[in-house]
Order: sequence, then C-alpha cells, then structure tokens
Amino acid sequence: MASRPLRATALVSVLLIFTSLLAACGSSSSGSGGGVVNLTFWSFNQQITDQADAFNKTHPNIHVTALKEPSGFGQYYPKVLSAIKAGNAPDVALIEYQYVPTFVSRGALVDISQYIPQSVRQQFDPAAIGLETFGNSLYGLPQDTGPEGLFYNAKVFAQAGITAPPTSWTEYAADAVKIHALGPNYYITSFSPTNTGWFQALMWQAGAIWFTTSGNSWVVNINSAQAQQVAGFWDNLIKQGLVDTATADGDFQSGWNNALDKGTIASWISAVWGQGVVKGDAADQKGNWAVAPMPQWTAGNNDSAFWGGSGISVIAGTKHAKEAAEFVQWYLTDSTSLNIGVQQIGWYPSNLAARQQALTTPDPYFAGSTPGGQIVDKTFASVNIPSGWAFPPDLDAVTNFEGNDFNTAITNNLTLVSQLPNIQNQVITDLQSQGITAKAGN
Amino acid sequence: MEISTVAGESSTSATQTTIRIRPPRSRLLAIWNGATPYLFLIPFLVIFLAFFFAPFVYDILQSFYILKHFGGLGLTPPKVVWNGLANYQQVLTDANFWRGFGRVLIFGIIQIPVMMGIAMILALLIDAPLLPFRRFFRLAAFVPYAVPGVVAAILWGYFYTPSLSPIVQALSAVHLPVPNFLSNSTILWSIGNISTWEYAGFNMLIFYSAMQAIPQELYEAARLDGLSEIAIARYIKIPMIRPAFMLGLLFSMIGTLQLFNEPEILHGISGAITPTYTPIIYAYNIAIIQSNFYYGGAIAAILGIITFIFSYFFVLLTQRQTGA
Amino acid sequence: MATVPARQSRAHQASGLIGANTWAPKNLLGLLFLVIITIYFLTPLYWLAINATKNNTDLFSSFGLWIAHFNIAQNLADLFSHQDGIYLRWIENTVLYAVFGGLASTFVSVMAGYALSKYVFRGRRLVFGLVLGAALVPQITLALPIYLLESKYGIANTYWAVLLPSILNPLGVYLAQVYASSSIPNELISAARVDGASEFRIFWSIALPILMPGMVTIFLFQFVAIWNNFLLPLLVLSDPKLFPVNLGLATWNFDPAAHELIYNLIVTGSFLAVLPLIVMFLFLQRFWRSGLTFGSVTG
Repeated sequence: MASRPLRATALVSVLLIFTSLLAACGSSSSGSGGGVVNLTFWSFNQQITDQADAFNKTHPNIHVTALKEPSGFGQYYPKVLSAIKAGNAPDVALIEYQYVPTFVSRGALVDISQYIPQSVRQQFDPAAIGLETFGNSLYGLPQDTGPEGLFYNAKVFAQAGITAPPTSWTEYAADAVKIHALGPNYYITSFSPTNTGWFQALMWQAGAIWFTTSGNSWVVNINSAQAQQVAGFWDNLIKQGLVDTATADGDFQSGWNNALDKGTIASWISAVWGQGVVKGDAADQKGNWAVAPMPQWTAGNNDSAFWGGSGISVIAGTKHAKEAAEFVQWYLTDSTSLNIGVQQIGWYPSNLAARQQALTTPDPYFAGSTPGGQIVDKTFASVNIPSGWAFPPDLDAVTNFEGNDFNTAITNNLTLVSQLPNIQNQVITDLQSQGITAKAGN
Repeated sequence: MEISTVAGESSTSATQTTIRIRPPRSRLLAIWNGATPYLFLIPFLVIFLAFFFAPFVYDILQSFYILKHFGGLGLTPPKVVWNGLANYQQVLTDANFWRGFGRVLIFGIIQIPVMMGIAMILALLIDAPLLPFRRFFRLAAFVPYAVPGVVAAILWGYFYTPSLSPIVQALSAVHLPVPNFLSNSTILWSIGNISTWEYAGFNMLIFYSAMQAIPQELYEAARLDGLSEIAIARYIKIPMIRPAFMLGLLFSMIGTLQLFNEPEILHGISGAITPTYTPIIYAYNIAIIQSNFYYGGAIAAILGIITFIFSYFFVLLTQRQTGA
Repeated sequence: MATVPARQSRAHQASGLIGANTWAPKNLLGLLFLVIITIYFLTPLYWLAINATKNNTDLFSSFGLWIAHFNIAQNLADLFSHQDGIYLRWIENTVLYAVFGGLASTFVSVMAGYALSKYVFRGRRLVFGLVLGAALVPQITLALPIYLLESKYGIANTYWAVLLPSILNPLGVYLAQVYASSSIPNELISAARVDGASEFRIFWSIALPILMPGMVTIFLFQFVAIWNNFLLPLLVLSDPKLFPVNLGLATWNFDPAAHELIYNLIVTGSFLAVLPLIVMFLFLQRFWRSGLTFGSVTG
C-alpha cells in the first residue's frame, strides 16, 4: 500500500521542521570566533552606536555591539535583571547611581577594582566614584552626574513680576503665589506624588538623609525632623493649590511637556541633564529659559543633591570581565567617546577633564537671564552635595511605598508629612524580610 | 475532567440540530492504526508542553522559594532558599493584591454589563429588519476590534490628555466644565471606556452571528401570531442566543481579570495608575520590575487559580441551566 | 446548531424586508442609538486619520477634529527615517509574527482538532481537558516563566521567542474540533478509507478543503491575538530591531530619556499600523461571523 510511506514521510517532515526549528534557534546565541571577544553594551542614551564604532575601530580583538534600550515603563532595569537570571545579560550596561546598591544586592554587578587602577579612578569626580564604591569593591565607573538646580522660564517669571530667581525656599513659595496669579493654569512647578526620585533629591538637599549605613546595618531616617520640614513645605503649597498635582502633568508626561512648551509650568527643579529635556520639550520657549542654583534652606549655602546620573558597570555572568572593564575604562576616558557623550548625548561628565571642556560653551536656548545664552553647566559646577546619603538596596520597593502613600495622600487630601512614618516602617520591614539588617534612625 | 465530557457532547451534537444527547461512540470513527491520532496531535502537544505545561510547572516551582540575605547590608549576592507555602500565605494576606483584585471586580461588575448591554442592543437592532444602513452600522461597530489594544490605549490616552483632547477643546470652547479623565477617581472608568470601545463590536458580532443562525421558521410562526419585533427579540432571540451570550460573558470575565495593556499604557500619562493597580500589573511589578520572580510567581499562580475556578464554575453553571 | 449562516441570513434579510415600516417612532429611537454609538466608535479613528496629517505644534494647538497644516508627507518621511527607519522594520516584524505565527498555529490547531473529532483513542478525554483548561488559564501569567525558559534554551531575544509561543492556541483546537465534527461527514472518511486512501491523505485532500472557512476564522483569531500581544514581546525581546509595531510605538510613546517631541510620529505611526488591519477586517468580516456562530454550538 502506498499510503504508509506517504504518511510516514509527512509526519517525519513535520517532526523535522520542529527539531530544525529548535536547532536553528539555539545556534544564534553563541557567536565568538577567530579570537575576537564579542561584548554587548546596553544603555538608554542615544548615539551609543557611534561610540561603539569608534571603539571597534581601534580594538581589533574586541567587538562591542551597542543596543539603545527603551527607558519607558520602568522596563530597562527589570530587563537587565531578568536577563541576568536568564543568562543572556549584556556584558556592560549603563546603571544609574540609585540602582547600583539594588543591583549589587542581587549579585548583578562585577567588582572591577582589580582592572581599574587608582590613577584612572582619580580622573573622576570623587562624589560619583563614591556612589560606585562599597568597601574595597568598585562596581562601575561614573559616566555623568546629576547635581540639581532651578530651571525657570524667565519670561513668565518677569510677567509675574519676579525679577530674580528665588534664592531661598521662602522666596520660592512667595513666587509660587505670583505665578499662579497669572492664571488658573499657571504653576511654578508640577508636583507628582509618584515622582519619587525627585522628591528624595529634595530631601537630600535639605540634609534629610533617608538612608545611611552604620557598621553592618542600614539606618532608615524617612521621618526625621528635617524630612518633616521638607514635606511640610510642599504640603503647604499643595494645600493652597499653588503647584500642579494633576496626574497628567507629572514630569515627563505629555501634559507636562506641553505645559512647559506653552509656558504655563514656569520652572523645574531638575538635574543638569534636565537642560536637554527642557530644550526638547519646550522648543517654542527658546531664549526664555534660564538656570539658577537651587533655592536654599540656609541663607548663603549652595546646597544641592544628585538626581539621577549614571555609571557604566560590568554585568554579572559575563565571560569576559577583563575586556568588559577595558571597554568601560575606554568609554569614559577616551576623548572621542567623551566628545560624543558631551556634545551629542549631553552628559555632564564625571570625568573631570571632560567636565572642564563642557563648561565653556554658552547655550543660546538659555538666554532668559543672560543675553546670548548661559553656560548652563557652570551653575552646577560649584554646588555642595550634603554627605552621607546612600541609596537603599531595595530601591523599587521604596519607590512603590513612597509613590503609593503619597498618591493616597494627594487623593484624599491628607498631608505628605502624615505618610512619612508609614513609608519608613514599610521600608524597614521590607529590608528585614529580605534578611538585611535595618533599623530606624529616630 | 467533568468539563471535557460537556464539550465532547456539544462537539458532535452539532451535526444533529435537534437534541443534545451523549454521542454514541460509533459517531466517531474507530481506526485501525492506533498511532494516527497521536501523530496528528504531536505538533500541538509539543508546543503545549513547551509553552504551557513547562512554564506552568516552572512558575509553580519558583513560587516555593525566596531570595534571602543573611544579615548585614545585603551587598553580597543573596541565596535562593526554600520558603514552603509562605509566599502563598503572604499573597492571601497582601492588601495590595486584594485591593487590585477588588478594583478589577468593581470594574467588571460595571463595565461588562454596560458593554454587553450595548452589544446586545446593537445586535438586535442590526438583526431586526427595521432600520436602514444596517450593514454599515455593523461594520462600524466592529472596526475598533481591529485596533490593537496598545494602539487603542495610546489613542484614547490622547483623548484624555487635557492639552491634546478634542473633548476638552470642545467643552472649553463652549465654556462647559472640563472633566479630568486621568484623576484617581476617574481613571478606572477611562480604562473601562477603552475596553468597551474595543470589544462591544466584537460581542455584538458574536450575538449577531448567533441570531443569524436561528431558524427562520420560528420568526415566521411568530409573525403569523402577530408578535412585534420587540416581542420577537424578547421571547425568541435573546433566549435563543443565550449560549453565545454566556460565551461572550466568559471571554469578558477572563479579559477583565487579566487587565494589563490599557492601564500599563495609561500609566505613561497618569500617575493614578500605581504599580499595584490591577493584580496582573502587581504581579508584573513584583516579578519583573522588582525581579522577585518568587513572590511574583505566587501572585500569578493564585490569580491563575482564581481565574480557572471562576471560569470552571461559570461553564458548569451555564451547562446546568441549559441542560435543565 | 448548524453553522450555515450565509444561506440563512440571505433568506432572513429577504423575508425581513417585507412589511418593514422604517420610520415608526420606535424605530427612529433605534436609529438614533445606532447613529450615536457609531459616532462613538468612529470618532477616535477619524481623529487618528486627521491628526496623522499634523505636525507637533498643530497637534497640540489646533482643533483636534479638523485639519490644520497638511503635514502628512513630512510626517511619513520623518516616521520612516526616525531612528534609522526602524518603524518599517517593526511593521515587517509584526507581519512576520502575525502571519507566520497565525499560519503555523492554524495548521497545528486544525490537525489536533481533527484528531480529537474523528478518532477514538486512549487519552482523548485527557487531551480535551488540557485544551479547555489551557484556554481558561490566563496566558499572561505564563509570559514570565516562558521568558526564563526561552532564555535557558537560547531563543530569548530572537524571532523564535515570539513566534513559537504564538503557535499555541487552545481555543483554536477547540474550534477546529467543533468545525470538523459538524462539517465533515463520517461517511466521506469511511468511503475514502474503502478506496485505500491513507489517513494523512484523507486529512489533506478531504478534510482540509472542507475545513477551509473555519481555518480562516481560526487564523483570524490568532492573527489578532498575536498582533495584540504586548507583554510577551515586551519581556522576551531586548533588541528594538525585533519589536512588533505596537511595542515599538509604546516605547516611543513613553520614553523619558528620549527628550524629543515625536507625538506626530506616534500618531502617524499608529494610523499606518491600524489601516491595513481595518481594511482586512472589513473584507473578511464574513469569516468572523461564520466563525463566531460556534457560540450557538457550545450549548
């Protein structure tokens, strides 16, 4: 009977398709040949492929593939972490400072202290190197830092009768009244309860250090007197309706982008990297914006804090830690790479030599207070960052607790101050449940 | 499994439109080569094992473990330790999980009846031979189903964003108060609107197709008896398409319990969508964002169990009622 | 209940036209409902079409439901060149995932459904239970373990990572089983066997042609499911060059690190992405309707 062979071939072919399919899939993951070490590099900066190309040209034995990853949905870091668990992580990745302890506590970063000599480390901002160093271990080199200042729309400020940017928080609150007087849609700033990193930087600037270490224990101090003072300051503005708490107008959201462009949100407390955001989002306000130091709690100080800022780390599971570290060092010390970073990506570099170069060019976009344009980075060059702040090893949990509780507060007309004890307790409980030693600082 | 016999019955009853009885085995073809049906099933079973069974088991196994540090600052790699049923215990007492679950329940209790109501009225109006342009209306209602959920959420997101929204523009042009679609108290219904927009037409088509399959003799008899079109709808169409209605309801319930795409996209324009907003978003945030696969696995497992129980009893219940 | 809507519906409509009084007040109310609900269904799509022609400034400043400067050519040019023209790549990927995934899934499902419907064998009930059980468990909860397992076998972040899981469609198996039971007479199979045809040939040359309309429906269902899938590609793909278009658009829509206003590209990109789907849906609606009568069968 002819039917049997036919049936057999048909089914064998189906099986063959499936096995060859699986085989074809498997082969794509491996890929080193001819003595060239292949590295993968993830970042959410643009133009990183140009930097990788420059590296590949001068390093015949190493080939770096740079992938620009999306940063929305909070999906970048989870992707790195789950890729590590899955065994297909990049060899090198951009990690913002606030995530470094969280990544270290997952065993996700490689200690590169043996590859990076002291002489190289000394080329960088010590405060930034400090955020990458734990004991004797070094978990990355700092790319750029995020000291904060006050970006403001000088034209709108002038319309409101404000001649100089506020130097103290008291003046800031008074200016908030004047700007809101321009119209019901006008606000000095948006205030998003879920913008947790931003709020933590405000705490840090006031010396309300939420997280420190003492010996082998974390000290959590979210409900300190200074913290209550900062939260109370914003409670007062929120209660009077002087800041925009609409959920669509939080930082980076489309309503906010548009409000910056129209000038109805008149200022933004932001890090130095924020200049790129302002220029991109408020293109129609060219020439109107300016930048000033942050408002102060103590007259005469120039206190600020870091919001964001990134380092480049070698990711656990790499088979080529040495070559990866070589790329990291090149990436942050080579002049071609730094030029692309500073000129095109807009880094405020942690590399001190490169920072000097960044401090020379005035930007005509920021001509609100200085005709011809301000040298924006200069405002950030001499700030004082209060010492002692360490980022917690469970940042995402802290973000959830803070975001949830502050959101509840705004929705139900409660104060931020009233939420602080609960946030602190949840953070301590969470750390302890992971087997980490933590105690309250007050 | 009880459910399989139910489906097995229906499968063959399709050939005989009259009565639903358990099919005699002879209706199926006995075969002489024992391997053939298995060979036909192999591709499906391979995929099923690889992409349903294996991940399912993997998820369950993970949910019995936890990542632990042993004192200190936790700046060393943690260990994976056996945690027994503790993760499940924690989910059952996790206020965030139940709050999200309650939110989804409220959503379902309001949104599903609204959507099904719209779909049913649409199907009846389009099926009844009374109105003009019925073909056009039918196509128009179904078109939103062609829009991928993510694009639908982005699109409606623009309608909700005050600075872009034509609704806001129109209302403020005539000096009417402008609603805030993205606030904590309204966002759930803004999501409900997106779901309704996307799926009302789909459900309409399920009902409409079922109505089209009702034998004409029934209508003719009813019209001879002098029944109005409304009476025909009430006493013939709605009872006759009950199974189709129940099926649409089941799809909607499962979809609601898994609400993810729309709130996740709207999260980009509204701070009101918290990381614990719906159970799936919570599981996603724990398992992916916080990369706690272990606890996230337990949340996913419990949600899967709840969904399964829901659907199982729903199917059982509808079979009982129609069988009675 | 048999699934022969095409013939019946024609009869239905023909008989329905007799004596219909279209302008009775009751009917006017019905018409009003239809008009209002249709405006509701179509307005967002109309908005999308109109705003695909606007630049970024007009998008925010002009009235949303009417045309401002006609900028569609520039939008398209920008869309196709943004990030080295990745948008077209996304469209290609989506077509690849949805078409090939859908075809493979349909074929696999129909083979399984046919076996379940036409053979008696040990484990038939078990397989049936598995199919129904799998249809009821939220697929979304499996996305994470799927990703972890795929990574273990080295297929994460490849086309296969999205394609292979897309083949699984328990609902499709169930539908195929229903169609095969109701539309393939057993006598036909018996006769073919008497003629000496092999089991596979019977399936290929007799069953498949009969099942073709049902297969189109199964394909459409899975096609839409794959086109809609968001969480799975979000998890398993890290290379933007492999993204399907809805994931790509979603990343454009909310990318805080991008610092550029590209809402016009998102709107134009969304419009382009849904246009072919809408056209396809309108032309294939017949298959949806015939497929969806399975609702009347399940009772």
